[in-house]
Amino acid sequence: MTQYGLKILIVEDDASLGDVLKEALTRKGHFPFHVLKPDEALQLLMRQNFDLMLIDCLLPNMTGTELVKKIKAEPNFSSLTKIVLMSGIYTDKSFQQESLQETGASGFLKKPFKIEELDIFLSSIKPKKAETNEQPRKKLYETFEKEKVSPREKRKLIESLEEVDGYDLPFIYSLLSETKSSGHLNIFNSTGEVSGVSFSQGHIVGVDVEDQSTVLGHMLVQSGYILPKDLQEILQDKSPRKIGQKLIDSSKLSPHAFDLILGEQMNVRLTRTIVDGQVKVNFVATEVENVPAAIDSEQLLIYLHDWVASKLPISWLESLYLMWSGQKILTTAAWKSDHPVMKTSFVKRLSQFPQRIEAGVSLNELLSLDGYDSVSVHKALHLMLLKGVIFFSAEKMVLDSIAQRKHLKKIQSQLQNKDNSEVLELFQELLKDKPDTVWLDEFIGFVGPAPQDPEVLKIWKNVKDRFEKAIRIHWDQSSQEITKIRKIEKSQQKLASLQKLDEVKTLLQLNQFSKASDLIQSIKNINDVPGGRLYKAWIQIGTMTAAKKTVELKEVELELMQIPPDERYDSFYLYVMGLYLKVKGDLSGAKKAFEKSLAINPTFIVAKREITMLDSIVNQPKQDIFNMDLKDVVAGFFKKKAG
Amino acid sequence: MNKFQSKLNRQGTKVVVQLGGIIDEDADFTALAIQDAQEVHIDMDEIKSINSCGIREWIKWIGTNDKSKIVYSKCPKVIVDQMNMVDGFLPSSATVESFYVPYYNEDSGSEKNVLFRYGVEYKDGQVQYPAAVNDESGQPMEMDIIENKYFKFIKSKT
Repeated sequence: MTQYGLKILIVEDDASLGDVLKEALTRKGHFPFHVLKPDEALQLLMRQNFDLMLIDCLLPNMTGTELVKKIKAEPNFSSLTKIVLMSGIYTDKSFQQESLQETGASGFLKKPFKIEELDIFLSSIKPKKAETNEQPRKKLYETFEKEKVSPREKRKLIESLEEVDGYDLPFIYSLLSETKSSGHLNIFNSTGEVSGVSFSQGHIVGVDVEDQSTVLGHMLVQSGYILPKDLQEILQDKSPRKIGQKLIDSSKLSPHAFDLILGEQMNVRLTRTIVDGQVKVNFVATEVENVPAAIDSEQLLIYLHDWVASKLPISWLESLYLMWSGQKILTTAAWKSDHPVMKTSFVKRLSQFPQRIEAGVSLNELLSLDGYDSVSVHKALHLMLLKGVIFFSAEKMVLDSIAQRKHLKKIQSQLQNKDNSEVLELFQELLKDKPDTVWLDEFIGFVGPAPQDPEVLKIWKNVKDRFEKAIRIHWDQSSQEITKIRKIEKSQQKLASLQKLDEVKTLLQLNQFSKASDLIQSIKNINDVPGGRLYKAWIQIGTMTAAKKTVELKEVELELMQIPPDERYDSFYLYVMGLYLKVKGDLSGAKKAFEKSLAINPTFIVAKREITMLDSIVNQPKQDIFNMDLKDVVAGFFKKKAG
Repeated sequence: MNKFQSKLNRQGTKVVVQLGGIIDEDADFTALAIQDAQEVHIDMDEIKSINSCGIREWIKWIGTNDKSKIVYSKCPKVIVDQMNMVDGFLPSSATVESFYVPYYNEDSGSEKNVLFRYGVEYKDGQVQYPAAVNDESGQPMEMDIIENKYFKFIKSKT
């Protein structure tokens, strides 16, 4: 018998008898499911497997033996499933033997029977192995475990993936970069859009997306390579040459600066490929010419950092790392104490992070350390994984009682206020590609065996019960239906969030920070909504107090850092950046940012107002802005001018 | 670098197109007018690679003739991958006369592409594997693909 219960289908047209059987089996710790008609059983079998089926011989429209034959012909039918026939009418031995022979069923029970009579069948069912299905995605993330990856292995790894998450793409980019690949990575998203990334000896040399609007002119102005008036002038030139060429020909832009901005343009386009949703990929290995604006491994690290900071939601990272949470983190041959990844802010933020990894530790242990918050740990670890300096050992580390308690407490808090499908979604990486009959076993493997300590055992039982409940509900509904409903809910939620955010934007332009703050707080998963972080930062600046200036400025800085690169070439981003610099005391930097914002959107009235205000402050010699009370400075910045 | 090469040969109402090289943003399909042909035969033996721009151009081009009989032949792996993955790359009206299957020998590292022909190595919905494929030194080779993915387009034609 399996350690954690069997999944049993009862096909019994007598509703009360079926319910009694279901209840008795539930009490024994199994997962019974009761249907009244053969059709319902066949429908269920199309989408899930069972360990055991109890089938009555006399059913409406079909006999039990006919049903067994049909079931066995189902493509989804697993030969591991045991079938037991039951009957209260056909009880003579010859009938029993004949039906067993005809159907290949494992046994026959004469009704009424004692529940213990089922034990012989229940105990003979071997536990299903969780690793029956290969996990190509897990294998992909374990590529760096090997010192060298041949082009063939790489191709096979990518080919083995049916679909990947859009958030997996940074890993694939880094893998192709670190392994010095040449060729084209073609990406297909669910809406039929085709995009692609070209590699030459590991350098990214081209990014092709269907939406090509990367506003090169805005990027040049924002980066300070050209002046707004140069851009306006060049835009008047109607010759067919490309904008960059026109600027270079008129000596307004250096070819080197242009290469730099082309690299940045590729970054913006790469950022657009990293989407919340499934994508298909294939890699066509071929020789590709290098270009001067190519993104090399060092430059890619900066972009990877940006994407980990701004694009990959913490919920996704937590879910991804569940499959390794108990495994020891090991270093690869590429690990060096002076590797550029060690200098990234996520790694530096955690005290002694590289040293702890070198000493041998699991993710669960890292998360139980003081000062090691989930966001920082997951993001730092992910950056290291992306750069191929770490991998996870196959062996699980045994947690001591204190660490297991912390681990369980964390899971308990994650499960709180989640509906059943959200519970399963949280563990989707752990359960992916595995039959739902082994989900509970997987979950127990993740949380660890039942602890001895009664207090810890209480938490263990609580999380296990919650997970079990979610599985039961899942079995009662088709998983496809659940996914469909969740998708609709998600898109509706996203639409509602965008509408609310639009209102927030309007309120902010009117300096109504308190109302905007209330409204933004009502938006679910605000950090995942495009523009969410920017408006949060704007509100924080608008409501900043002198007493908490240092702390709040750091928070704003963190929010701004986490804005994805493709959202930065926008007049609002530049405007908020201007506000941030202004509060920080960098008035000339602030003025430049407002001017750039205005250059991108000449009708942006609030940016114009800020420039006027800054000019008036700078032109008032008596007011020493750097030594004034911050409250007065901030009040001065946001005060509307009379008339 | 192998630039895009193309040749179009009209044989009455039938058009034979030979394609080769790299299909990318520089591939010009405008000279390959197939819209009036009653039968279009595309020989892909010399195609080396394709990128996302090329895939988009292909779909646009092949979509200019959705009424006639279209036959793909000698499709290399890079094309089979797209047929299996991209809607519209292999239109529903098109058939595949032959395609290459990569084989590999783990010990020697030798690689070989074997041409699978309709009616011989496969037919609608079914693949009939060649009895044995050996490399030049006579060592047995294995298919270097994920079968249920690579032969998907055959199964979808049932």
